[in-house]
Amino acid sequence: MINHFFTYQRRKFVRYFQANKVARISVAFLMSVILAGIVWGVYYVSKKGLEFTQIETDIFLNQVGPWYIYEIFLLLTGFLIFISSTIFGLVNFFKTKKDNWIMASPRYRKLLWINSFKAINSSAWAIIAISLPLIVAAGQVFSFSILAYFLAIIAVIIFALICALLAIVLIMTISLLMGLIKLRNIRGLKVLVSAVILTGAVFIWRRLIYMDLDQIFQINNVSNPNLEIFAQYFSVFPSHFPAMIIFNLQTANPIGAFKYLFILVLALVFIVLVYKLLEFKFLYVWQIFQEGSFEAKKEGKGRRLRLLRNSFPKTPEGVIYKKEILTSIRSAKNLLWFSFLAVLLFAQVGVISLLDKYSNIGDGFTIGNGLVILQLAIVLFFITAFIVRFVFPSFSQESKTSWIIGSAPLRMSKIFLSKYKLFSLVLTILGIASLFLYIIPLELSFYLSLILVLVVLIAILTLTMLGLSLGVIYINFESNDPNELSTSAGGIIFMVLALGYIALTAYLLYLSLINENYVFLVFYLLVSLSLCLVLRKKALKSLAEIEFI
Amino acid sequence: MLEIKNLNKNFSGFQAVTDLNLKVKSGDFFSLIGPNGSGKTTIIKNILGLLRPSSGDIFVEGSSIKNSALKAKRQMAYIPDEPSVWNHITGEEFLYFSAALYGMKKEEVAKKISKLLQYFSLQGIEKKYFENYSRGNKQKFTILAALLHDPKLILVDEPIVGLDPQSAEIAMKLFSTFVKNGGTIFMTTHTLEVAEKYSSQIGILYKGRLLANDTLTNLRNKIKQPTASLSEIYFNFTQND
Repeated sequence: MINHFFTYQRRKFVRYFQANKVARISVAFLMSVILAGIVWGVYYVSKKGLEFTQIETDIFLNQVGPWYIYEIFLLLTGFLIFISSTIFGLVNFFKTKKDNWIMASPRYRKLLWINSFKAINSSAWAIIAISLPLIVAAGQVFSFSILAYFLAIIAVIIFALICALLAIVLIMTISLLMGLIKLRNIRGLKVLVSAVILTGAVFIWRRLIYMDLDQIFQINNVSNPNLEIFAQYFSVFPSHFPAMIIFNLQTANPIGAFKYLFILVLALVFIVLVYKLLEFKFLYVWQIFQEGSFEAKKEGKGRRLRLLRNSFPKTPEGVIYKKEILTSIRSAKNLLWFSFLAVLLFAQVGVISLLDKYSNIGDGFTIGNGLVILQLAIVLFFITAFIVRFVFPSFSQESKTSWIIGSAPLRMSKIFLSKYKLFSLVLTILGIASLFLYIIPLELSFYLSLILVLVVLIAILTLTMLGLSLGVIYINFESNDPNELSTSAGGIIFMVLALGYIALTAYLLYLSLINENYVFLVFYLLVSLSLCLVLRKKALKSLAEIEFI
Repeated sequence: MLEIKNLNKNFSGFQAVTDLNLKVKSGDFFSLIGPNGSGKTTIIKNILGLLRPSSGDIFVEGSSIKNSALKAKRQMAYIPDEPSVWNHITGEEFLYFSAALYGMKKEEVAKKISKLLQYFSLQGIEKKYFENYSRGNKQKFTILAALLHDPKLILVDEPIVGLDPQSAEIAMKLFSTFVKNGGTIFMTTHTLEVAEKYSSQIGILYKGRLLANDTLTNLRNKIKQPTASLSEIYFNFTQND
């Protein structure tokens, strides 16, 4: 069966390139270019960071500087793999009607294996994009041998497997417990797992934000520093073990590296054993979640309906608003992704607080315009991530249900504008809220704050129009999966254009602040407005020609 | 009520419908029968404006689907063969949404929905999410949504697939009553017994071409078999083509 699975995956890959060959090869090429760009960026930043720690002749800093970088980068890798696998598992493990035929067969247990493989596969990008460039950078700076490279890569792969399996074990354990206490509701499972993860995320966030850099870098004890104090801060995170392996390889201590690799292998063996034990209960938990009701709670029924009746859409466009809101907030998958991106967006506010706290470290490091512009670009980058996940696929996802609005007496232009207004509103609230979360700690002037708010507002309105319009122009009824749609030709084009637009926004804001000349911002406004008008016109023309096959 | 003039539909070189001319009067129950892939659903989607005719035009109560699409669409309702609805809304919400899409007033909708739910005894499950309904129940909700805004023409694509015998009977009686009250039904089906029992006019489609279009009696006369069943008529036309 496993052979069939891999054969199917191979054939699926080959089939993908059989139709629309040129377009799909171009998409794959563009994706590779984007991935290569990210990998190079992470490699460059890691290498510069590691080289920076070696400038000082302080032996302690030479050691803990890179170590700190390994800990942070691997912690991020582990977190992303864990979250990605959890979302995949929650959405796919128990509620996939297409898997019924496997569950009805004697090889039903393989479904957990197949889904686990897919979960690990879907989160492998974090190793390629973060961990591998870090290892290569470390290898270059500290002249790793082939064996050191090999050990470091093995360590990171084992660590990634542990993180992904931890996510699966967490889901399976909570499912089993819920089954035992007869709480057989898949929504409850999603809420419980999310609550556990959120608690963990808050713990990690607090530990990082309230980390006393003076103490861990032992600024007041430079004559007799203690590595143990540094290690203690990170020892609670699973990423500490692969970080220790790379650190030991850096300091030419292979015995230390093997010791931590052994611990890591033991941890993997343990988690695999737990996984294998839980595998025996897979059929049981799968069965009980097939019984789970997706009905709204009894006590909520009356209130929900009253709310619906009270806000009965008065216009056909009102239906679009209401439908988008209801289908979004009731989809656990959407909510999980939205929360994940929102957590990442707001977590970077913590980084700013940290920078603000240590703004007086070193030779006059001050939070200036550069940091403000960097933050603005980060906020817009996250907004782009929201758009690519939720706005861009919006029309394509209507494929099977397009008959409802397609056959109704409703102009497509109105549907387009209704969706645009709704998405713009939500993203503006999110963007402005995250903006304020860094305006306040940085104590920016009212004037600068106002400029930032206006720029973010213009950028969000333009990026939303870009995402929605390209979603229409490159409409794709072949898939309902937003991840697949986002990586189609239109999605790639959107990402490239959005990144270009964000760079333009940052550059024009920079010119404006440096020269104290706001003509650059007026130019920015005109460019954005023109872009919106052109995109809207193109999108409406495409919409008028769409056929709902 | 419905007039199709010289309709042609081509999909990237594949001719799905060829020179279709058809008139269906108000109060008619028209059934279009034909094998899989003969173009039935394509014709319905062209009438609804979900697909664009390659050439020719379609008129609903005199309004062209090409030039006055909104006016034409206001007269129609659609029951698809695959009752796909947004997963995370309830059956009741779907009915409210359908009503609002056709500009119905809030007051009349609530009353009408509670009456319609009784037809298929759907009271009690209307607050469940659509994804949890069986195919048959999904189909029932789409049938009710089509009846909600009092259309003049209902386009039904395979109406009883997935329905239990009792519900299928109820659905067909609802359509008959709708026709008796002056409405028009345009139905495609593979269930020839149903077409034979309820239709006032039957069209036989084969490879995108309308081979015959008449009353059952006249179709029998055409093949010179006065007692032939619709099944025999169908095979006679399609096998001779």
